[in-house]
Amino acid sequence: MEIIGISLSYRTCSVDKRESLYLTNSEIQELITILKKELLLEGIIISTCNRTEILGLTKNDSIQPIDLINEILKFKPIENLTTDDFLKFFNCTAVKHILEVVSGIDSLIIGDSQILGQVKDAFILSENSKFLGTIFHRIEQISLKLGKKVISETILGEGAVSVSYAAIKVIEKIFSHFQNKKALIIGAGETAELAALHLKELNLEKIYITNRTREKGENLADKISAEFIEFENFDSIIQEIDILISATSSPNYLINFDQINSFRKFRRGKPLVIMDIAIPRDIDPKVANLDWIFYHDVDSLQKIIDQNIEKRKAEIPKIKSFIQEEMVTFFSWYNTLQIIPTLKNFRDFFEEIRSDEFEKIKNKLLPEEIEKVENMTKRLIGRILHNPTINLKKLSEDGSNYEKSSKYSKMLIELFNLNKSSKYE
Amino acid sequence: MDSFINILNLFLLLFYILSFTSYFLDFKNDLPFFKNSKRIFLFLTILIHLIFIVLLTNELKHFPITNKFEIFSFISFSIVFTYFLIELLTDIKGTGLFLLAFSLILQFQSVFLFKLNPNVLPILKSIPMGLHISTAILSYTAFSISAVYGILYFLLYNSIKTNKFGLYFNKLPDLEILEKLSFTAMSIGIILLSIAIIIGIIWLPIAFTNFNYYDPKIISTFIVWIFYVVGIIRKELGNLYGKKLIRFAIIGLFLIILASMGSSFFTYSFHTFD
Repeated sequence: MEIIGISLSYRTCSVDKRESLYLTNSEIQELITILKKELLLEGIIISTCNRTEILGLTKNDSIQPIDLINEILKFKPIENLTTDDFLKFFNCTAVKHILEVVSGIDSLIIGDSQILGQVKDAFILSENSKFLGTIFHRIEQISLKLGKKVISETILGEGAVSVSYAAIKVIEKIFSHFQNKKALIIGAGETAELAALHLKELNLEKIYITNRTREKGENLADKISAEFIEFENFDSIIQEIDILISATSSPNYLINFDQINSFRKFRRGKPLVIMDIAIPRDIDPKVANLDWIFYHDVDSLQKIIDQNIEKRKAEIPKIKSFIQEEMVTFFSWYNTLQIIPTLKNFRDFFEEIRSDEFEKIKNKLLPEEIEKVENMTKRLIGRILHNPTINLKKLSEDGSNYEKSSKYSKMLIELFNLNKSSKYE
Repeated sequence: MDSFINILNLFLLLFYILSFTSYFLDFKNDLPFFKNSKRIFLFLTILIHLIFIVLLTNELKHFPITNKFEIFSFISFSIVFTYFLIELLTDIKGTGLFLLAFSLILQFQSVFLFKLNPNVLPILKSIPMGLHISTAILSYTAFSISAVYGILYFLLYNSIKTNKFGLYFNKLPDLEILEKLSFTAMSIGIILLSIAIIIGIIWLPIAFTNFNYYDPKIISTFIVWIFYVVGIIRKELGNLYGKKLIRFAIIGLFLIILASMGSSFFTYSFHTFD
């Protein structure tokens, strides 16, 4: 029995392939049923838009990661997807991989806050499919513990790493109360929608949405309980708003310097935050020179993102040390789990010989000698077995010596015929 | 006892340095140890300073605000105490470094000017005098704090305008909060200064035979008072906000410095006791 794993992620293939292999919950349950038949005793399947992972405990030592790849490709055949698109893991690397995934350091955006929840859901799905056994229950425990530790003891998830969120962070450095603030969002595309969703969380007094295509604009306005205004009329409300976010695909400026300058006169020093997150820009960047106008475009917001990514990267060594700690704890438990039956059989084997030999001479001993001789034989066996027992235990308790302890264990089984019902022949 | 108080004063300086350093290291390097311990160091500093003031008062038999050493020490205490309250009430921790720097300079001066002088004029030992001076000092402390918040406001304002998302951007509270803190400090300052002036108007003519309303210190204090009252009224009327208010707070501090220098160094005043 080995822990094996396969992984298909942004590290190994394009987004098209990742999306194609995405498994729904019902597909995962179906696949689990198939895997349980021939290949795995227990395990977990994680599938998100960025990755699909299968980790499990094999039914026997001959099962390899390639068998899992073949099974998933048979289950969901995808054109151009080959075995080379998968990473393969064994034992230590498999456990290390799941811990790296759950901690967020293996994510496309380092510190992705969603991955912990996704892994948690995957374990729940495994549990419901009766695919979680002793080993993967333990892996679930250490994974979730690590995920929580990363959140509470590091800054891996802190700071904005998307343009729209960085824009919100800048807005939060200008205003502290949003209940009396109004915002206008120009555009209704993906970027505008993301910004709108972030703005909604600030509980502003009012959010206006405008868009050239009325239907798209109205849909977004409905989604975030905002007010839609006609694209032709949006400049009439610039005077009353505090935040302006523009994210259209217009090739020309939608708002020029003179417009902002003329509105500014009526604002009596009230700050206007302009987030021009469109490429090419929607607003004349010269407005940044005006007093009380806080203008930021994608380039300036990118500086915040870069800083935050660097800060997150700096946390990786700390998280790797957490992972190392969890690995050592896990493998000392896991290896002992494998070695204990072997040691028991090993000691039973010697005990069988001892008691057999003792029975042979028992009748030749004087009554007062029986106990003494029996104790002596027990002590003798105890002393003979002391060092191999202790050393093998030590070896298995040290999480990093999994291969060695497994080898020794197999050696004992073979040398002393420990697998046979009657070992002593 | 003198030497004990002197040693305590030096010990106190050590705690000011410790508090300042922990706020500095937390501000600059985000070290977790200082994030948690800086408030403890500040609390200990305040506690030791309070003990120091009590011992000093007991030793001198008057409230310790009669010479430069005592006044600097008292201002230093009032700044850290005010800041500690602000931090506890608002949980805004990013501004401590700047106010502590101010306090630390005053505490340094206090150590160098250390002089125990129990033989002060009897007038300085009276309770109304103690109240008059302490409220005046506290009001100027509040105006100074208002100006410090104003400077921080400008630092952050410029950081945001020029896309420099460094320490100031990451550590300081938002512009609206800084404006609010500056205005709150200014409002507290004007209340305290008003109390100091009222006590002065009632009690000074009784206590001083040579009292006159044209005394330079009284005139300069009135100018400062009028300046801030006008500012607060303008703020309430909605004519003073944001950068304008902040500029006002900083100009106010310069006016206080000019007024104090003018009345203390260049003209005779019945208000001079040193």
